[in-house]
Amino acid sequence: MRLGLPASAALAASLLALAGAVAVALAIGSVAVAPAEVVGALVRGATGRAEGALDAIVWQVRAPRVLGAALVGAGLALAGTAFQAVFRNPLADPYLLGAASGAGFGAAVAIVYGAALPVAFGVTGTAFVCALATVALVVALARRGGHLPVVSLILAGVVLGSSLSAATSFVMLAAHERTAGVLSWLLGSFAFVGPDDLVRLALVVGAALVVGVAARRGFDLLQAGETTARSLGLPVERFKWAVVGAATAVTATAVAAVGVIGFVGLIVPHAVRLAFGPEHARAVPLAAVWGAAFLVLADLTARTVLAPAEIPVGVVTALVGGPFFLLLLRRGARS
Amino acid sequence: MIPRRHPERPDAELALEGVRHAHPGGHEALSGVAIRFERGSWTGIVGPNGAGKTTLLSVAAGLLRPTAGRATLGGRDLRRFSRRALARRIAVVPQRPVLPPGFTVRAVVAMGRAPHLGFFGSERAHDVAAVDQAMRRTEVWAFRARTVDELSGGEAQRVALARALAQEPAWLLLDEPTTHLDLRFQADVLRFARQAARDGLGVVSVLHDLNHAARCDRVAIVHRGRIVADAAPEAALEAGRIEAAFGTAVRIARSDGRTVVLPV
Repeated sequence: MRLGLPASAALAASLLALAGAVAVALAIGSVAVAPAEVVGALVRGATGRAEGALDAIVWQVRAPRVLGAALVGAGLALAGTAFQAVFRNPLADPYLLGAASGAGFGAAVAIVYGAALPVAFGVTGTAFVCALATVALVVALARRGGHLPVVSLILAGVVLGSSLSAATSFVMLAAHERTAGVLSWLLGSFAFVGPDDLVRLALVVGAALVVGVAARRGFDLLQAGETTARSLGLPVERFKWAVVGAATAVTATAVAAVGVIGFVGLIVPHAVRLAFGPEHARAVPLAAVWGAAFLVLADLTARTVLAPAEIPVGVVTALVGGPFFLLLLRRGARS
Repeated sequence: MIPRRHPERPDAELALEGVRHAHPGGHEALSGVAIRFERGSWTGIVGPNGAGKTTLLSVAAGLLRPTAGRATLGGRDLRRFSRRALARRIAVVPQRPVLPPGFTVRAVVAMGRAPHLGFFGSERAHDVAAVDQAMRRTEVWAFRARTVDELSGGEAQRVALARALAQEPAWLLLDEPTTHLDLRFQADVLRFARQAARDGLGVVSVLHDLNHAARCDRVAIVHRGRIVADAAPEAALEAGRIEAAFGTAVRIARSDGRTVVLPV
C-alpha cells in the first residue's frame, strides 16, 4: 500500500495532482471552457484585463469557488491530521470537539432568529463564535488540573456535540418554513463564498500550514506515547493546548465560511499516511495538498451531477468518503 | 540560591534528596530516598517486584514529580530545566518501549535528535552521524529501513536503546534493559552499559537479575520504597540483605572475582 516515494517526489506528484484537479474544476461547468482558454482567462483576470463572458465565468464565478474549496479542504485535512496525531486516535476529526455542532447551532439560530437577535454577527459570525465557544466549553469540562486527558476530551466533545445537534434540530423544526435554509447550510456549500471569506481562509489556512510543519516532530513524538514524548523533550501539555487551539481556529473559520463538510478531515489524513507513510514531515504538507484536491473535485461533482441543480458538497464527500474509507481500512488491514 | 556543586560541569551529578512519591491511589512507592549517581559510573538498582525501582528511575529522569523532596542535576532542581534541556542530558529507555506503528526503524531512532533540533530545522550532518552511529552500536543498522511493526520484542528494545543513544545524553537511564533479550543480546547490552560508563556517561539501570547487577560499579537495593543497601556489588549483594529484601534464601559465590547469587 505504501508507495515508498522520496519526500520531494511525493510532494511534486501531489502538487501536480492538485493543479490537475483545479484545472478540471475551472474548465467544467454549465459552460465548458477549453484548457488553453482557462489559462488565458486566469492570466487576464489576475492582471485586471478580463473581458467577455468566458473570462467572467472562469475568473469571477469558478475561480473563487475552486479557491474556496481548495482552502477549506487543506484546512480541514490539516486540522484532522493534527487532531489524529495529538489524540493518537485515527477516528479523530476536526469536528470531534464540537466545532461543527456548535457552528451548526449558531448558524441555525442566526438563520431562524437572525432579525430578533440582540447582537447581529450574521450567519458566518454567529457560527464562528458558537464553534469556538463550544470547543472552549468542551476543553473546560474535560480539563483535570492543568491536564487535558484525551478520553475525557473526546467524551465531553461527543456528548456536548449530540446535545447541540438536538438543539439545532429543535430550532429547525420549530421554524419549519426556514428548515431548508438551515439544512443546506449544515450540509455545506461553496456557492456563497465571498472575497472576505477567501482572504480570511487564506490567512488562517496559511498559518495552519506553518504551525503544522513546525509541529511535525511533536506529532511524531506523541505517537510513541506521552511519557516517551516528554522524555524526548516535548512539553506535552503545552503542545496539546497549542495544537487544539490552532486546529479549532481553522475548523471554525472553515465551518463559518462554508458550513459543515464531513469526511475530508477524517479520510484525507488517513489516506495520506497509508500512501506516503506516517512520519509527519511528509504527512502534514501532503494532507494539505490532498485535502485541497479532494474538496475541489467533490465540489465539482456537487455542482455537475444533477446540473443545473446543485447538491450539497457534504453529501458528495460522505458518499465518496465512506466507501473509500472502508476500502482503505480493508487494504490497511491486509498489508 | 541553590548552591551549585559543579559549576564547571553543570550535569556532573544526578541526585535524589529525601524523595517521597505517592501514587494517586495513596500507595507510597518511595518513602524517603536519597541517592547520588555519578558520571562515568554504572549503578544497578535491584529489588523485589513493586519495591519502587521504576518510580525511582522516573523521578531521576524528571518524568515523575516527587510528592516530597527533589531530584537535582548538578545541584539544580530538575523542575527548573525545560523538557528539551532535560532531554539533551538524560535519555530513558522504558521497560516496555512503545514504538509508533508504521514508522521505520530509522525514523524512530532519529526521534532522539528531536531535543537538538528547532521547529523548522532539519537534520544536519552531525545529526545524521549520531543516528547512524547509534544504529550501528545497537546492531539495528541491518533493519533500519524496516517498519517497527515487523520487529521482535528484543529488536524493539534495541531500537529504543538506539533512540536513547541518538540523544547523545550525559545520562542513560535503563529500566530492565535485558528483560526481553536473549542471552547474546543481554551480554551485549551489559557490555554496552559498561562501555557507556567508561565513555563518561552516568548509567543507571534497573535490573531484574542480581547477577547482572553484580557487574555494575555500584548496586542499590530498594525495598518497600527505601534504599536498604548502596555499595559496591560484593558488599551490597550480601546474603542476609538479599534474603530480607526478596524474602527468599540465597547463596553467594564468587566466580572470576565476580559475585554470583544463587537461589537456594
